[in-house]
Amino acid sequence: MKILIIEDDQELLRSMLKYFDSFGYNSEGSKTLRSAKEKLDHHSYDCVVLDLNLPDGNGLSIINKIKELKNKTGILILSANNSLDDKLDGLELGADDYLTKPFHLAELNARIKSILRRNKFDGDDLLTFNEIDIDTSSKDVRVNKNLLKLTKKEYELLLFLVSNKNRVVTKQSISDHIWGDYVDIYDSYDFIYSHLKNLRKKIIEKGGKDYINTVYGIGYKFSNNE
Amino acid sequence: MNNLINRTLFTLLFSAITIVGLSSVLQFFWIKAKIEHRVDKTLIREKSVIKKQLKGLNPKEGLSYNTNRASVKIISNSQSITPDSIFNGSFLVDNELINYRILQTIISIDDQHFKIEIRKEIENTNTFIESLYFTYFLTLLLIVILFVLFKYFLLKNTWLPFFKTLKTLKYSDLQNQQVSFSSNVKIQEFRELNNELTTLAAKIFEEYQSQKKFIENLNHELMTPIAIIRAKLELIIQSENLKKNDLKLVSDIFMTIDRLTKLNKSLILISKIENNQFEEVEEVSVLSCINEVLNSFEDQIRVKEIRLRKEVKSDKVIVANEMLIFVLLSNLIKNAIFHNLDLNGTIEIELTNDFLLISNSGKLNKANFNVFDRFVSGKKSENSIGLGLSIVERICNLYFIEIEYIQSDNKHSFRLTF
Repeated sequence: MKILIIEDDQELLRSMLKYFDSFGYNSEGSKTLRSAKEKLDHHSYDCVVLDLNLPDGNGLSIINKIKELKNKTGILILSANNSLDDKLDGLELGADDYLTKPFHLAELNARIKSILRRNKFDGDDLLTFNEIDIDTSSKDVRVNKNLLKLTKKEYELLLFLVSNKNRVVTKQSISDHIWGDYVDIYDSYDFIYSHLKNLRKKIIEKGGKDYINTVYGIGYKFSNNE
Repeated sequence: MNNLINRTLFTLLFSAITIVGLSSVLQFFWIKAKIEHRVDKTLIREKSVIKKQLKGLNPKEGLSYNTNRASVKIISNSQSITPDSIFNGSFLVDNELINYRILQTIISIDDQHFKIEIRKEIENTNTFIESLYFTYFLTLLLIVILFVLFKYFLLKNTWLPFFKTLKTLKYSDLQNQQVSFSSNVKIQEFRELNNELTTLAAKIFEEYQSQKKFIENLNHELMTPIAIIRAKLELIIQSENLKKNDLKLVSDIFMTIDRLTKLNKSLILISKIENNQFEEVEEVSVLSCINEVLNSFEDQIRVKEIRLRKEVKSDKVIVANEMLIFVLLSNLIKNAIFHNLDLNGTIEIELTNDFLLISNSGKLNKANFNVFDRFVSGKKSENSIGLGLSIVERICNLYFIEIEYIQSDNKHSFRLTF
């Protein structure tokens, strides 16, 4: 999986690259439109993460070029400016998703995975973690082929955790993912806990293992070990 | 009463009355003196006529007569040959008091002394004053009539540019609009006023805009550093070697960043609402928006065991930005949930075509008159940035929704009138 990150801020770029490296993505970074164009000419990417405010122009201008080169390249726009205009312009031009700074790396990762799933042919929308299968098109979750009855929030929670498997995911990123930006719920962390408890119970009931590990004070980690 | 035109009119009227009054008094004395002067001249002329007549007569015969108009008496004693004295006097004639101007003199002709008194009837002072009063009031009446006309034509016309300026000032949003005041005004002072105001308005507009721009940019600029801190922390927590104490510290930083982010996002939202940057509007169903919000708060409502009563007479559809309406309703409903009683709390939502009422049970709060102002209202909770109601107020202002906070019987309500 090849990802190009176009972001002019050195530190943010490095952090993103590091995070994606740990997932085994082949990710590259560009700090300007010009260098991004060069890279796009020589390589093909599955996904481009695009910051809009670049030193040599607006990131929107590169969307057409990306789409021309390879129509299946997913594009995720990053912007510090949470403006609807940018969002609409971007999506109209062919971007797949839009994320506002400051984002959680876990959220960025989940979005990229979702874009990649959508852009792939032949219903490759199956996400598997050991005995757990998540069909993202029908939103069915099976444990050992047994269908789980999950609420919408439980499903989203599971998908988010599995997308970021083996990574520690913060409570804040889960809260933002489930409830969105503007809902701003004070005691959402308690609710995350209770949803996770139900989710755990349901998975174990169907013979699944408990992969949800609590990381003290920080959040959760969906993983085999521990 | 205390407006410009009335004030001007009353000042003018007051001075007119004073001037007319004073001039009447002056007139009275002046005319009186004039008349007396005239009469005196006649009297003196008559005196010389009488003198001539007396000369032509036989002095021995002596002569004395007394009529209404004059009397001549022979007096023996010449002790006091006085000069002419003229004075006022009045006599009863046929039961009517008549004013006279009287000339008394003693003349001597061939050692014969005559005391001559000549009288001339003059106008009664009262009659005189009466007629003066009459003209006085007539003049005043005329002045009042003139002033009324003056008010409607002259003054209104003269002050018209001023009132126009005032109206423009009153009804324009100097901070968000570039307002100019007409310089095509005849009266110099008003033209100057308008020119100065135009300059001032431009300054206000520019300063406000640049300030707004600055704040907006600042907020946006802050987002990248926050994103960096957050990303670095997310990388740190992937390490397996962190101890419990470290995790606790990192967790605290995450919380703080979260607060910072939310605060910043709220400020950006507010500045965007004020900058009218939500141009995308569509028909939004308030009811479905309420349902959506309630759906996202179902956990909270369930856990706090809040009894929810929803009374929908009819759905209300408003043309607005959907996201903003969602933010508006979610802030209000969130407020109703979190400022509710811990036990047996209730929330009532009533929706009609004209209004939306969201009430919740809660403790009575004394000083909550300014609930919309973040920096006045409420205790700052650890988990709340307290900008929710400020945002609510701004969204309501944007869509001309009237919002009212009502507190009664341990019940807090927000009423939105569409």
